[in-house]
Amino acid sequence: MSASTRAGRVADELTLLSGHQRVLRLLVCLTPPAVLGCALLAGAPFAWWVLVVVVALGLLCVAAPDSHAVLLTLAFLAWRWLADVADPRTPWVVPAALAVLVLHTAAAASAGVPGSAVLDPLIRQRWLRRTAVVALATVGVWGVTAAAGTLQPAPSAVATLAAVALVASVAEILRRSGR
Amino acid sequence: MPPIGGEVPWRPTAAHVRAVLGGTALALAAVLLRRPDLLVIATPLLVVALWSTLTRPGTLLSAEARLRQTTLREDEATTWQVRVQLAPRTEQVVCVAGPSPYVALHPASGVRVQGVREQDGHGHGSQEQVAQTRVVHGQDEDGRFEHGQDAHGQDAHGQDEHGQGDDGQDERMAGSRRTAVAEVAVQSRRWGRRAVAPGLVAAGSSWGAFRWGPVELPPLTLTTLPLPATFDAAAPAPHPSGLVGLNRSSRPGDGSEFAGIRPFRAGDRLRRVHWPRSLRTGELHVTSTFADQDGLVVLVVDALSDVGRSEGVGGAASSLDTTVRAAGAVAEHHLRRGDRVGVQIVGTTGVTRVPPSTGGNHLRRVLDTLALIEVGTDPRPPEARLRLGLGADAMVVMLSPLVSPVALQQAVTLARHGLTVVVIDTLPSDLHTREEDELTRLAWRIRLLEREHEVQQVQEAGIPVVPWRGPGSLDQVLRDLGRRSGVPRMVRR
Repeated sequence: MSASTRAGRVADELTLLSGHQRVLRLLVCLTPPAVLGCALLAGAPFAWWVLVVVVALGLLCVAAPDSHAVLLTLAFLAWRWLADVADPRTPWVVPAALAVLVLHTAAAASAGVPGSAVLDPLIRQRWLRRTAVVALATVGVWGVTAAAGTLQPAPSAVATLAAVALVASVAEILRRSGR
Repeated sequence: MPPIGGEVPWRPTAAHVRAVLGGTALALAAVLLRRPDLLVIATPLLVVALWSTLTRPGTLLSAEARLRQTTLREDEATTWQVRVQLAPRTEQVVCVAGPSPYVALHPASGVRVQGVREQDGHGHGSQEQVAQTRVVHGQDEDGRFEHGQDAHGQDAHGQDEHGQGDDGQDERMAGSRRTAVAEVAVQSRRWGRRAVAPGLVAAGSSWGAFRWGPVELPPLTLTTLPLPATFDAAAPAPHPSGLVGLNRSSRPGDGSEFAGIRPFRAGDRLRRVHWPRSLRTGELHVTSTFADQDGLVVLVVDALSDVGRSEGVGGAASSLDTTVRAAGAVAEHHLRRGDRVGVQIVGTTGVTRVPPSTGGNHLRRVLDTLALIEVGTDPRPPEARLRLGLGADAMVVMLSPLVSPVALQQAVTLARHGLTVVVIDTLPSDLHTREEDELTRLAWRIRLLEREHEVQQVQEAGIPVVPWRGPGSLDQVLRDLGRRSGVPRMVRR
């Protein structure tokens, strides 16, 4: 299939999207620039080329949510965050992490059904409830890191790994309670 | 149809790969680079990855598709059902009915997404036997769908044998495994037998992390009976000859049509005595009647060609659409009058002949045969296709667009053998060629002129050719034929 044929097919698919899918794709499109905005607010310098790349990757995710384009977008955003944001304890990391969660969730929900599908209320409520649970967990982890930064403990890889294990345990508890 | 897809495994999706790889990489980077902010960004991905892995469905699924009714009339609807044997921790089922010609789907996309409710707090299906569990009321962008009735007059709104409603989605228990049923309404827009709804079915786990399928579902055969056009004729059949029916016989007998009053003869029934005349004349008189008789009508359907564009019921009709619907209408009309009706189809393979008979069941047989027409599939030469073997009392109604001269030749041959033949012209009146090629348009015009000349020749040979106009199309022709039936004719035996 040629590139023009593929582009025309994608355009046709996008015009046939259901209302729910349009909302999901809009979220997929908007969240990468939102992460970039959080980075700017956290002190990252503005660069046009970064914005262009992020928008292009966002559009790529909209066209193909069931692909690794979203992983590529996340990798690029993480790289730019790591490179541009100097303060590792900035509070803007919370909205950035929530935007990453929304990007991942919206792309996964969008990829799981055909473009013209209408999600039934049970599925919508389930996704919203679980996303809220994970968002709470994310805020909780940020609280732990902020508290650790305030207490200034000595750097320890063991402590970090223990924190990861703690997150895993919390995830399982949340999974059982959040369905 | 046996369930399919039992060997298809659950596969991780791009979303799960993203959550695992992205979360792990960010967490490692956070640890190695001492960046707690990266750990915060990694948290949602890690939690989702962990959650998805812990809720991975363990067993395989199987699915089967069926049509609730396999025979419809035009413009009626039924439902395409997909039953999926659920594995524990299956969270959603998606089925897609593929597009088919002359089939309208509802929802128009043919997509149904059903969420599967958990049975207990641990993501496992309960072992408790529950006969029927309605879970989700189907909704779509167009609201609820109005089902029609099936060919047997059964309301498709009713629940099926499992007690399922028509909201398109359902879930029930069967032993330890639950079954999800998703439905898409299928409305047939044109007569004929065709394969419909070659579909796909897929299932997903939590967070869209694992996917089963999509599994291809085989197409199902749907037979659509033609919806007979509106037709009525006040004129009787020209040669009634049977013993039952509503046509007035030329002979006196036991019937309902008044013939006259005559003196009583031995064998006359007492209830026929006309008392006023008998009292006046002093001699017994009885009321005589004409016998009520049935006629034999044979419909010859020309399926050699199909001219024009068919848009299904309610839209533009091709010549074969008009032919088939008119044949159904004429058959229905004469069968209701008690006549015997037979059908002979020229130009198709399979069942091409319905022997003459009467009654409502026979109408269904006629419509079934008309629905199986496949235009121009008979490889035999035209002269070998028509073998009626009828007596001179039969009336042959030939329905044809008269595009091929073969049909008119057949009509002339039948008339020369002494049969009463009426030709109904079913060529669409608003037919225009859309060919851009000037030569093609010219060829079509020439053919129409030739056709006009051939029709004129046939009419001069004593065979009436009338265009199909619905009710009353045959009235004048049948009256003329009735008058002519008493005149001696020269036939070739």
